Amino acid sequence: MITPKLIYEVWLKACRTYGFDPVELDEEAKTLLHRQSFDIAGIDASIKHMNMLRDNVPGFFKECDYEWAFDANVWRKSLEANFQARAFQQLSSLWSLPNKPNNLEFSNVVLRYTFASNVDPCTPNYITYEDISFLRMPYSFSEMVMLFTRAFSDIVKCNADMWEFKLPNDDYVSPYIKQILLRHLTDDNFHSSDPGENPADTVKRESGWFSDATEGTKKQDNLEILLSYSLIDFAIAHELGHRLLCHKHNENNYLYRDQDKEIEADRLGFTLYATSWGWRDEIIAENLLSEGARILVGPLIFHMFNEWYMTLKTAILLLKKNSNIATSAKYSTQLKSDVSESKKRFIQNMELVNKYEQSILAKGYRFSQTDRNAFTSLATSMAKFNECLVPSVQSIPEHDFHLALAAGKSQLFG
Amino acid sequence: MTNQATLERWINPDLSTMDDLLEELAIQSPQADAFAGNLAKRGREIILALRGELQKVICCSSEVLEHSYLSDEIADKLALVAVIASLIPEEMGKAMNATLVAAILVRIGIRRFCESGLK
Repeated sequence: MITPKLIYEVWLKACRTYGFDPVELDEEAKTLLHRQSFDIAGIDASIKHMNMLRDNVPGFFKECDYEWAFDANVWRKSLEANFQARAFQQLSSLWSLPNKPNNLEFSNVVLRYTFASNVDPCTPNYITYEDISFLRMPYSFSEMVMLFTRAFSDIVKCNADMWEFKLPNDDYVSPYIKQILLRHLTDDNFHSSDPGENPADTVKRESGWFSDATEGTKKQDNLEILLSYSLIDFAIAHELGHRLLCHKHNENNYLYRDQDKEIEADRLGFTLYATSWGWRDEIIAENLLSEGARILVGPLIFHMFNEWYMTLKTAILLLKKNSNIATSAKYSTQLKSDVSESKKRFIQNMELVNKYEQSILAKGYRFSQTDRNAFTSLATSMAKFNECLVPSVQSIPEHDFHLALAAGKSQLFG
Repeated sequence: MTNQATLERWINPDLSTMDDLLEELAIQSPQADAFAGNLAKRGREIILALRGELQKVICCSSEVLEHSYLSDEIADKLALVAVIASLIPEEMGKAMNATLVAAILVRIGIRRFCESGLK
């Protein structure tokens, strides 16, 4: 039986072994960052959400041993409790289905928010340690989701019943794209435990081109809400897919890049995401798409987020080569392989999206021609956004590029 | 047990880069990422997250301090790797190759490692 105490002990041990969270092993940092006053209200709200779910699906929580989740002390950050509630939404929805696939393991899932700042990779990940399946949600994932959706919303506007990609001028580079580039280029020299100025801030101060790079402070608009909620939920669904299928590590104790297992997790993740779409709809209702079509945004933005980041990484590598900066042949080869894997998964998931459209029509849900046009315009805009990333990187002046690279050179690893 | 040839490859900058070592460390971590990423960066992330724990056991060790002032000869570096590997906490060393972690720290430089991240 899982208890808050057991979760604390096992997670601490896992972090001591594998370094999953830079803050977990630092008592001073934990005191500063965990359970801040604004977290308490958020944690309470998420527990209320879980209580609503328990009222609707009591059997799920009892059978799968999730009573521990209702103890507020198990949550360190409001986002952590929020992500767990969203995972429960998905798990309990699928668990309730009479015709769900057999042999799925619904229990022992614990979400942990970490202060990992590495941006490559930054996506959530799944680890089983001493029979607890931790879904690790790094800070850098929330950061990159915010920046990419903000950058997209900066350039793509709603026009009547469609979305339209429109750069203000040919040379325009969104300040949010600049911030993404800056974080990527300075990442090796940035760590939450290192004293001194964030290298990204140093570059902003010294560089003309990067001076307007920003995270922004404006409230999220409806398009950002649609994309960020869909993306985070689909990412959670993908990781839950690994857990439900009991994907284990191989004899060398790593699961890294087993392509078949990633595609299996995509497929089951899609089922989880689609089955639980109802609650999410209240949050993302204000946009062009009707209920049936909104579900399709999840798999689309999940894979496009990866496409965008792959494009940026490839463009940066090319810029380094064109600037006669030494690059690793091994890294180039690995990146090509990652791009190829990513495209294969994208095609498979878009086939699922097409099948889903057919099934919701068969069930009598609304997916009108207006929806089809709006969804196509969104997908087209995402593809055009992807295309604009390469010239954005190429427009970095040589001086500013070298400045960012110098600021990003690791003091420790060289 | 790491064989001698592998150990010498890890220690010798003419035979391997720091990124090579960090990649080998990263693939020992049992996490499955939704999408592929830079393994060397993942390896860096692991070392930095464990830095405090490693500094506690390594940076005050008189045996490490004695060995860290020896020459840059490979034999001396191998001796230092062995000393550091023996100090790495058992749980960490069982899960991830303690000798590899030690080799990374020797490649970084013990003084530089012990002085890094100081608040």
